[in-house]
Amino acid sequence: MIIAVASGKGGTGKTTVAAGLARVWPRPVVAVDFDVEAPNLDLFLNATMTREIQATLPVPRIDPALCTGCGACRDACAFNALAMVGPVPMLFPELCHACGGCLLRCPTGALVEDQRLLGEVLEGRTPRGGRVFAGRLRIGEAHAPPLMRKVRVALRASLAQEPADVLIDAPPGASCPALEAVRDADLVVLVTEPTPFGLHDLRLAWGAMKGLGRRMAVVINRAGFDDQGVRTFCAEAGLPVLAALPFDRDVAEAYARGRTLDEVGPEHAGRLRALAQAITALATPSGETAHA
Amino acid sequence: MKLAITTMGTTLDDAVDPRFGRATGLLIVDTTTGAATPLAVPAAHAVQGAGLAAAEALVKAGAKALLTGAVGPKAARALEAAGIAVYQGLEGQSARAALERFNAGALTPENAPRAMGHAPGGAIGHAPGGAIAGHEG
Repeated sequence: MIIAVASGKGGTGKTTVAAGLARVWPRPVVAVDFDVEAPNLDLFLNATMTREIQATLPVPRIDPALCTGCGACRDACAFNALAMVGPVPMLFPELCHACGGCLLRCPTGALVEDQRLLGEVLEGRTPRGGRVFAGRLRIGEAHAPPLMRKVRVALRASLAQEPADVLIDAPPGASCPALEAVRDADLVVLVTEPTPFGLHDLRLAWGAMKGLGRRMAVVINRAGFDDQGVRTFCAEAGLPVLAALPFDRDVAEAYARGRTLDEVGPEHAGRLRALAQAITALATPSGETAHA
Repeated sequence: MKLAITTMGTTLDDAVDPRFGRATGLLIVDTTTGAATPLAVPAAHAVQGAGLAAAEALVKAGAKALLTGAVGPKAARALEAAGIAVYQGLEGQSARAALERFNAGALTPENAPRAMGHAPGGAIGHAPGGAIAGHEG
């Protein structure tokens, strides 16, 4: 079972919810930090990240001695990463999406495969032995999804050896990285807050993600101000509200100290356990019974 | 010689478009005859690399100079490689007025980018010769 915790708006409590759920999850679970631009889930889970693998993306390099300047590579590029403004193409590797089309189309073998560093795939364990995966995007790299896919490869290899549920902490937003994070989830848990911004971005995230055909549900964080707007939207959109986590200064203080929600107090831990139950019940495909 | 002007329309009476790759229009002007021919902006709605595609179009059209508002860092590299002289900061006047100033020798070429990049890898910051230091011509 794969659960993705996403949001739309940043700062609604994705990591708070994801880390808390990982701590109280009733079955073996792997936590994955897909916010590769600012990973921090490992900090909340006190994980020791023991493996660090450099991830790269194949990009072309031009051998000017072999290039005839025919421009076939440029015509093959859908991303304007090659410009014909001289006798040989000018390459802009930062625009390359690594489709490999130019390498296939070059008739003289003047394009050879080079590598662009994306960042690192990180793997570690919590003090209790729970597996944690994360990605750390290289500063200056603009594309998060290729690194996220490398993290997923490492995750799948680990799951093949030792099956477990997967809890994904997704990046904020409603663009490619957020969609990449939730694309294979059995359930997307959208964490929102009862503010105009929270509702606005919840709507955006829901609108972007519903095209993926994933089951979605909502958690209202910092609840208790004016939740009616969010609840009305959820009712209209057919999104079940699985939990309302009340606004509580103690939660903010614990978060600032790097603690998880279940550590704040027994009532918070109880709400998380109930949320974990609701999530597993909703995400379990019909016909399959949840394993204790 | 031939030069290119980014415009908000299709004639010399239209204003100079401050953008290069995503300009509304491009005009190729023969400075000997004064004839102006519209050229399609090749990648105005591209996700990325609009300036590079526009630079290629200028090369194909045989333009030796570009009059515009500002070019970004990648387009600046491509135009430099193509040997096209770039004149920036010309928005706020008609294409004809910019052309007359060029013909009178009143403009100074400046190939360093004035605009920040929009696409990946270009957003590192203002390149040398940014808006403040730039020569208005």
